[in-house]
Amino acid sequence: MLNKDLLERPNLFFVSKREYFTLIAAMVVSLYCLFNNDRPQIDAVRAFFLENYAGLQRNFIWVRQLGELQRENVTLRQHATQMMLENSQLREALLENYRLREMLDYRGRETFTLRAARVITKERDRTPVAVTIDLGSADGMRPNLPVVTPEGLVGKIYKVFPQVSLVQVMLDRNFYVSARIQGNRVYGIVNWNESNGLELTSVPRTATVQFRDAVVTSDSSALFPDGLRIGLVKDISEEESSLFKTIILKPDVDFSRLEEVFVITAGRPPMKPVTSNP
Amino acid sequence: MRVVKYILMFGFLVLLQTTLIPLLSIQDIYPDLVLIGVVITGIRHGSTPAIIAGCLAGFVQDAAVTQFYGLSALAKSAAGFVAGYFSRDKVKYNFQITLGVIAATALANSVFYQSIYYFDSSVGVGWMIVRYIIPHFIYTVVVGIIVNAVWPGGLWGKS
Repeated sequence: MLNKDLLERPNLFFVSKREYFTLIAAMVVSLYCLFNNDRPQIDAVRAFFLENYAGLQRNFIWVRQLGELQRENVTLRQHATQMMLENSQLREALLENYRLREMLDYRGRETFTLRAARVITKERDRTPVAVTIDLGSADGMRPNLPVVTPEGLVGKIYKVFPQVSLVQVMLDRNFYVSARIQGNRVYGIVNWNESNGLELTSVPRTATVQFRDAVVTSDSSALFPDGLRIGLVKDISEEESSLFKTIILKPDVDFSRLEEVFVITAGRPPMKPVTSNP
Repeated sequence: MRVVKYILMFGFLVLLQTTLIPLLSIQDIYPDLVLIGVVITGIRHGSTPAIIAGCLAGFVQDAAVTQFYGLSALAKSAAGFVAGYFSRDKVKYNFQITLGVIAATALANSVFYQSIYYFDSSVGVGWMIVRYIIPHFIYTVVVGIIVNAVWPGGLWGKS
């Protein structure tokens, strides 16, 4: 009788405290994943969940887009009108630019090949710092390819799975991009800061920066092409003790409404000039 | 059969969370419907199924993030444990208890999630509580009460 009790006791103890053991097991597994984010085994688990999750989401994107359609329609009409006006000015500038380049025998700027992608999932709870797109390694995606919208830089590809890819958005605090003020070529680093939002840092106090100056990617970036729009200068502050200015930016891209993006897959030779208006 | 029913329920909640819920965001704060699923599991079946369900649902949600893979799983496991503490085998239903369960679960989830997410960032503890933990907690509790009113059998089901 005593022996039977002794044999059953550990089992009884385990059963009566099973919620504690389950909690400990769940926490150990979660913490293991948390501290080993970049291991291939964790990537395999993540790929399994993400591909199935994204597969399910793909069929229901229209629900999310439904609420956006009317607002987007109005915005697009405004953009189209604005673009039409800008386009006629740019044609003139392009022709002039081409003539001057020929005179100087200057090498043309590189333009890029874009792949359109749909945003399938966004990180929940806040303005997304990561989104999943419907292009994967099967479509030629690879880590660090730049991701853009017509408004400007979105981020870069962070992880690639067979059918989908994870994009690290510029609002991730671990995302850094070399940037410059478009007008006067003052260089700095753009990074997200939870207190201030998007910031341009490492700009010397002596540099001239003005409110509403455009900030674009710089030519010293190894990942991003030069001149991609990032945002506009919203606020400038200087501290007595610091050698640098703190410049807060208003992003050009509305990250909370990302639906379609473009991945820059490769450069291509410069465009031929437009010789006549259609 | 019951497991299949819960897999379908969580699939449906995850789907709603990523399609309809973003349209209800206020200042980047969303209610957490998956957490309400964890509350339902905890109340109806106790801590163990709620921890497992929370952990697995958390891993699915975590799949689409660049860092902290496993953070939602960790937070929702803790939330499942809290929800299971108020299972219908132990506590009799009334509205205040329901409110308390949702609040305790949402708070456990928020505290775990946000404090690890913002650990080592420039965000101060006070700002994190005011900007993220409290609004997220309040919004989830409000939605939890609505779900309790419209979900078949409420969060407690047939006892």
